[in-house]
Amino acid sequence: MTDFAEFGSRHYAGRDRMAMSSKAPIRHLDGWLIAAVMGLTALGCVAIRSASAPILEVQELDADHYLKRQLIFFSLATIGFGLTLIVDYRRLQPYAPMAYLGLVLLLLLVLTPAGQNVKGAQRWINLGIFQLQPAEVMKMGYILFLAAVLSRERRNEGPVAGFTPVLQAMILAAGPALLIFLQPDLGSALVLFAIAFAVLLVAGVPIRWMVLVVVGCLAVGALALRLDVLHDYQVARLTSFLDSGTDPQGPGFNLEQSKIAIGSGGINGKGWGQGSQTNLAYVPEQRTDFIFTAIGEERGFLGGLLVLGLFSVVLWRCIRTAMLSKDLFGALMAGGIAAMLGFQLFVNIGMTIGIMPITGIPLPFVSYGGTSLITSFVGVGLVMNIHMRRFV
Amino acid sequence: MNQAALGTTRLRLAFLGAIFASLIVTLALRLYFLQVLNTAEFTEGAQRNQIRLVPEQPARGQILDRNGEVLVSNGMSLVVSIRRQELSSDELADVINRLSPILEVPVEELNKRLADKSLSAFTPIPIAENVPEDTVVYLREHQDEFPKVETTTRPTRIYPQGKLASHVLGYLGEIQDDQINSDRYKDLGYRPGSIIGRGGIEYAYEKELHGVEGLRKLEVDSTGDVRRTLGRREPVRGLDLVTTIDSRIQKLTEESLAQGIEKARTIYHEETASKYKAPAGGAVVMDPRSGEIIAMASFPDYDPGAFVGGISVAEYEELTREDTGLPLINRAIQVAYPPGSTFKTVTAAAALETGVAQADQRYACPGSVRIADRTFRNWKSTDSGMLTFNQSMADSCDTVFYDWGLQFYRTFTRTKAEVLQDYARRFGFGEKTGVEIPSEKPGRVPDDGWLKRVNKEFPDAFPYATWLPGYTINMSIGQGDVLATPLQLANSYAAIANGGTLYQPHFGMSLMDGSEEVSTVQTNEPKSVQISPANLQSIRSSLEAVTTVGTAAGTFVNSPLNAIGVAGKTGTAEIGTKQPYAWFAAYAPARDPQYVVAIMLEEGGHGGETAAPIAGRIFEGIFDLPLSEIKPQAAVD
Repeated sequence: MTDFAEFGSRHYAGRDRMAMSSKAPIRHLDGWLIAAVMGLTALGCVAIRSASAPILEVQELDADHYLKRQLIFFSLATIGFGLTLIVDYRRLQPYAPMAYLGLVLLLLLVLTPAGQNVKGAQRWINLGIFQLQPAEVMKMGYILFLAAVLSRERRNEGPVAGFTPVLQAMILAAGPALLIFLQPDLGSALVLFAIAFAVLLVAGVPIRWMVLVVVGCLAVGALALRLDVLHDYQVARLTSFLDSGTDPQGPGFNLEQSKIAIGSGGINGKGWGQGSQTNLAYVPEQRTDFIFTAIGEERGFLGGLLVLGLFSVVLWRCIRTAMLSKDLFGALMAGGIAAMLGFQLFVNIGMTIGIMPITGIPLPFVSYGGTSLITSFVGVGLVMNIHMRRFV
Repeated sequence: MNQAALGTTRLRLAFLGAIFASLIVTLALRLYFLQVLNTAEFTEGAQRNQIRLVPEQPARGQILDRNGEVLVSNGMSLVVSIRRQELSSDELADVINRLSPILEVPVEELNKRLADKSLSAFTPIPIAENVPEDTVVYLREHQDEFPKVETTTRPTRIYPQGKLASHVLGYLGEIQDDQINSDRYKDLGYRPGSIIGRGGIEYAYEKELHGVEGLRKLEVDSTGDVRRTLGRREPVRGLDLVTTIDSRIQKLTEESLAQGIEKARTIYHEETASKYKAPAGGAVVMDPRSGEIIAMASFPDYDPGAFVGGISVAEYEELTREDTGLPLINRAIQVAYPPGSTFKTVTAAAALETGVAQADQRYACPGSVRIADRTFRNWKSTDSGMLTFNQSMADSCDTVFYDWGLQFYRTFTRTKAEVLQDYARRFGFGEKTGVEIPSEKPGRVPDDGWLKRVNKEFPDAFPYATWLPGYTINMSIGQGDVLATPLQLANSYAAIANGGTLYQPHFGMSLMDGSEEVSTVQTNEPKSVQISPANLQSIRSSLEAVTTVGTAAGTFVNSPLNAIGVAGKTGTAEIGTKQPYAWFAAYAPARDPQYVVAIMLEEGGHGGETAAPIAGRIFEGIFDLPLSEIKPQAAVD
């Protein structure tokens, strides 16, 4: 593991011979990260068009409707990404509690009549141009605040010890998770705990406490199943991947159709616009949560590997940035963002291929949706911010 | 951060990276499993999803009589079905509740039809047939309120002549699960719910009448909506079958049989101290020159139209209950009875051929004979003196035939040759005639081998394993264990009439595609009864005597039919303590036989008394003579 450190320092040494201006943040944009994220977004746009056009055509609507909207979201996301780069991430630290509290208030607002209800889920606030999904943004707010809390006390003193940080992380996650869970959006609520796990891990919490976190989370989960806290449909969705049903209305059927779509894609896929499962709407929520099925069916195994490859690059660059970070705050944030993206990647693709429960988690950069795209870009922007300023 | 802290943080980040790497590898492996190793299975699944094959029922062929008159044709019935698998149980209950008043079918009944396990869950379940057009229009206009409810048409049968020839035509019904893969149907492409012929000609000519199912290949989306038609194979309508039936004579036969039964029920039977019950009867009219069946009737009958659109359980039970006379049973072929004296033609032929009797000799006809300690009585108790061969037949003198029977028995004890049985088989008794329509009974020609077999199997009912003289003697007058169907009897008389050829009785004449004849229906090679022309001639002249001076003279002697000439034989069969079963088999014109008629009435009296008058009326109709009312005659054999 010291390889990375040495690599980093050699890199540092190489650059050091140049003029001081070479430390200017703008000269240290991470091309790999930008390329991978752009690649994923582009792939997502094509897949969104392919997944949405046939139905729009049947309804005699603009076949490019969702593509166009996603492109608008993309431009907003690019702006967000750019804005994120301007200010040194370290100067954000004092504002972290405010951001966190503001987002919690937004989550409360969602549950009031101000929130928008779609298909029985109250998740959105209408902003005119698009519907804001505060839960998506909350993930970022949580990462920021948790990193701030854990890094502030001990500055650069060394690994975080004791149980206090675990408690802090859990308490900070619990509030928003509960509010998100009430929407209900079980998946996004779980993302917060995945983030907590990663941030605590990076922060240096002893392994025994980490194990305790995992066991505790599993216990709470089991308790939730037993105590009827979950809606029936949530339980059915969570367990359906264990036993694919034949009820055409049920989640097992959705999963089966999703697997058929991906499995029938074969190695090379059927080609954009050629997937019968995609064209004939056999897969539910296809432009959003199940977007990967369109890629799997129409671009095949190779298309799937491309997505995984691009995500590998993104995660690699995030973790590398965390390693290069001069301070714990940056390392924790980059690690948390990596966890946010990595967890969503695994749960989202995992559910489409039947190894994870069905939860409403979008595939970052690829799924249709403004908040998710912007949040992901802002997250990557923060990583880039840390990467850029590793010398200053 | 200090170096140590940095080192730890990096180590932990590397660990996080390793977790991500393992998750991504997991995903990749799973994708490899789905998309590379098992892609064939999922490809098939995608095709199954996408393509829906919708069968299109072909129009079934019509059934016509020999003159082209329509006996069965097609109509369209409007059917309402539900795609039950595409609705949740709440939605389904909702739809059913709204459909019930519109279809005027109670909710429970609709639920029962929906629960029919014999139908695939993935095909629309028909819940109502013969739905009025207004209802269908209403459902289509309010489709939003009736999700997944479909209205389709389905071909049904129309019977322009009502109940005419119902037993011959048969009826339609849904194929049963165990039939689909049976040898008979497995290559014809039937599915659960397919409509097939379930009796009579509909069954026998299923393959020809059914036609070839069409298929529409549709691309459907996940909601079942059709996106486009990928292909279509037109259904090919079934061939029309021209039958040998003559509707006019069929109608005449049915009417005459029913009228004769009605009259029989007015006659008082002394031995049972009650009127004849005459619950049932059968009649056959054949062409002796070809084996064509011109009419076949069975009483009581049923309405084949009741089966259109599915018969209810209650209705079906009604048709299969003992006390309603089991109207589905075709008495002309599906029940074998002792033929009584109508069987004497066989005995006579055997006697003449083997030299036991000569046509120019006289035979004693006492009121009874005593053979081997048993008394065998003639049907009348007085001694009739010495009778010629013709008189013996005309008067149906049992004692003459007993004597011949005894001689056959003696031949048997000497040589093991079973002469009477041999001749019975030559005339087609003891085996199915081969008529196309199903469930024909073979009847029975009892012999030594048979007796030993049944003695072994049913020792209570058949306690003796030894062939006794009484068996042959009883058989010589068509009693004992010999059994025949009315069709078998008609066919044996046809062979006498046509000079010794036993044809396969049949209904199928030709198959037509529109107005074009596709093929003629082939029948089995006719067989010869192998009886000398002279002896057949002797039998024929004795049968003429029956209608002129004999047991059937009452019906024919003072009738215009006398000029045409009818030759026949009466029979009265005894079954245990039941009232007598009346038989009459005849052909006409006697010197140029064109029609054979056989009549049988269960517990309907004596042959000359009730059966012959029915045949008389049928012959009147056939030869365009004025139809007389059926008059029961004297109670003679």
